[in-house]
Amino acid sequence: MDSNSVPGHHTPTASPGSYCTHTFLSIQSWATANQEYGFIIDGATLSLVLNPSPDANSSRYKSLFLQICQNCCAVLCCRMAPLQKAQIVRMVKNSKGSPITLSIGDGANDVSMILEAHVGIGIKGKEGRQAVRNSDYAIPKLKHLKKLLLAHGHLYYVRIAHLVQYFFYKNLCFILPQFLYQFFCGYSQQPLYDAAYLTMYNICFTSMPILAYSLLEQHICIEVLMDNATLYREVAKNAMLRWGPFVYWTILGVFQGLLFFFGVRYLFSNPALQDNGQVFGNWSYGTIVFTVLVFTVTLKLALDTRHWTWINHFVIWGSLAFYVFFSFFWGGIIWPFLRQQRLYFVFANMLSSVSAWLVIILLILLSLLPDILLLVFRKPKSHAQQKKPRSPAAGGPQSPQASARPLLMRTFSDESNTVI
Amino acid sequence: MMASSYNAKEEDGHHSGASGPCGAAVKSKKPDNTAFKQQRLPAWQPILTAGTVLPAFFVIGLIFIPIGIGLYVTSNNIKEFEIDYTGIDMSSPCFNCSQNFSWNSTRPCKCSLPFSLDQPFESNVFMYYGLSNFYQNHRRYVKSRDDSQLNGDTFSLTHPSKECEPYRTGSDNKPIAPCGAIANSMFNDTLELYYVDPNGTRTQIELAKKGIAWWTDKHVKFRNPGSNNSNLTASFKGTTKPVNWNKPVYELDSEAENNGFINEDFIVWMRTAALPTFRKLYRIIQRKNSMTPTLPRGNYTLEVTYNYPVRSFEGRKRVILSTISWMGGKNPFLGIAYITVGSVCFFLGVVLLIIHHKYGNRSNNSDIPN
Repeated sequence: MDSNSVPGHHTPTASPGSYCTHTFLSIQSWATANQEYGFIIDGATLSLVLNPSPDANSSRYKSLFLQICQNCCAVLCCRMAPLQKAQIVRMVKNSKGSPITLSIGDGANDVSMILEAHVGIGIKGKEGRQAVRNSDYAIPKLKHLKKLLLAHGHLYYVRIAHLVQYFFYKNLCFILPQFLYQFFCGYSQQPLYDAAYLTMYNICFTSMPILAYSLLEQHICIEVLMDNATLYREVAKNAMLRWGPFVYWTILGVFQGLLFFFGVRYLFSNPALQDNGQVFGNWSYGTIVFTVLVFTVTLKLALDTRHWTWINHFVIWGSLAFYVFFSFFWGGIIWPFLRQQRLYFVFANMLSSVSAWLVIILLILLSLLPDILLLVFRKPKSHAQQKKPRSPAAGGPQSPQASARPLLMRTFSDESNTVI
Repeated sequence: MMASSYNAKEEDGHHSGASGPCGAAVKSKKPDNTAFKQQRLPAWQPILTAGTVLPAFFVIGLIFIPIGIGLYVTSNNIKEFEIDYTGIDMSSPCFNCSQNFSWNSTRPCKCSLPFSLDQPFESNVFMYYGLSNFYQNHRRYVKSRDDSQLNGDTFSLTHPSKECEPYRTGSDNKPIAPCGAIANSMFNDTLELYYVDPNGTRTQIELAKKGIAWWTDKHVKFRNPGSNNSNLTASFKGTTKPVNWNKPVYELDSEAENNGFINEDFIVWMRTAALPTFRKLYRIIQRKNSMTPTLPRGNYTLEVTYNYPVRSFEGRKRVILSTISWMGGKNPFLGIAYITVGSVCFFLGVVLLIIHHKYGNRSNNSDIPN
């Protein structure tokens, strides 16, 4: 180890407080010298530091201890009671910045620590099944932690975050034209789309593509994720669900909703859109908007998909085909037992108008333009990452806070370091 | 030794077929080693290089701009003429008709508007009537119809849908056919067009009333009840006319093919408009031959039988004469939109090309940006 280790072994004569302070000040002065420090402390000393005593300085010990730990790149606590393990985790959880904690253990004495941390991982070890039973995730060997965290954790986060954002976005696109229509229909709550479309939009037309995305997407393939632990930092601190990305998705939804509605509105300033002079009605208006909507949100997902399996192809193109097929089917016959035949032949008639086709193509393209531009401008980063997986990330100037990285990578890359 | 071998078996999780303490076979919880479950499905990763994206921008620009120009030129070549005949101003010929309106007037009010066309109208000319501030897209209004009655169903004829309320039953509780507010408010002005040649003689221009409604509407969606189109009076026995109509539905036209529910003016009206300012096809002026213009340059007169009241809701009525092209009626929006989007795409393509040339070569040689 090329870092200095500062032992925290308790000697009966020295007071813990002064020792802590001295250590901390020393580390602070050495920290600027770009060195890494490790800290070793045993259970007996820890009990003096963490447990409150009648001594007035006792509350300071804990915060000093925390600060020492935060400035070291590795902290080794040995001979700890199960409760102390949980106390350490709680202390880190409540520290400034509220970091997300993960604890991993294989024995019954690790159970309290596993329960305390945000993510608890149990290893099916020789010490029985207690750790596994109390954990969020169980793995057979410690080495599996690497894939669990770097590959599965990363992918899972990206998929879930995208799913959540996409759902709000597609519903915003869906409802905004309907909301805007109220200004033109006397605020009478007249729906823009036919009832069948309203019912089937979320379940039948737009649910399968995002389902496939959230099960299969690998925006960076698993091998590259495993080789570059630094990529995990892209999703640190809930990066994809912060205000920034949320505002982007919302503005995109609002922009597209406005575009759909007003694009068709200005087309309908002269509703004679067919070459035989005949006029379109309100259901044709709604059907044009709905067609643009379904195609745009599905193609937006197609643009976001970076890992195209046959399932993705099937659900994306299949959903679009199903929409077209359903529209023909729904408007194809006079439905017996129904008092209203609102959409009879509306879709087919819409497709016979060249102007309707042109406006659909125009609005789809214009709606997707911001995403395409973003894709192009963001291209260099992901392109480089895909091309050069073997990044020399271990070298180069590192800040003290980033000193955890080399250790992290060393742990994961060196199999012989695994405990079991 | 024994302990370590036991460990290896436990840790790797290989329990397939291994018997548990009870002797029964314990099913393995290990996921299958299939490509789907192990996320190993063969996949295509789109690599977006400048080579693929930039040409797309140029291609889109180069396709959209000519389309936009074509649309704009076509729209500009469509001739359209509009006359508002509501009669708001005192100077308007229809002012008296708009003021003296009462439902029970037996003598229809007529007014006559002269106008002139500066340019001849070639090919088929389509005559529309337009209404403003008329909310055919109001929810309660749109619901107020019975499509199964209009489809000729005999049960629905005498038992109209509840949605038609309060236009469901008329005087002495007879069911109304056609029921509903849409049918009740049907547009009933009569418009006639006369050409006034330089000597002053008026010739009436022939207005065709066939082909103004959607083919599927006229032949499938709207059907008269009963099997015989020529004896509609009997088919509609037991029903009464809508409250605000002058004549019952089986007297809409003398021709059997345009009478009853399949009257094309009625069908056109029943297709509710999308916006409060709309137009509906009224008549078609067929072109005579390719040599003479359908409507030559000159003076014309529009004779209106002013039946439809719009002053109460500050609506407006107008007549629109328009030619039609492959893109429909006159609307410069699509042409302008296509030209704009095409130019923007082309411009973006140029900008991206410049950026790529300046910085693209640099990024290929640098380390990974963090």
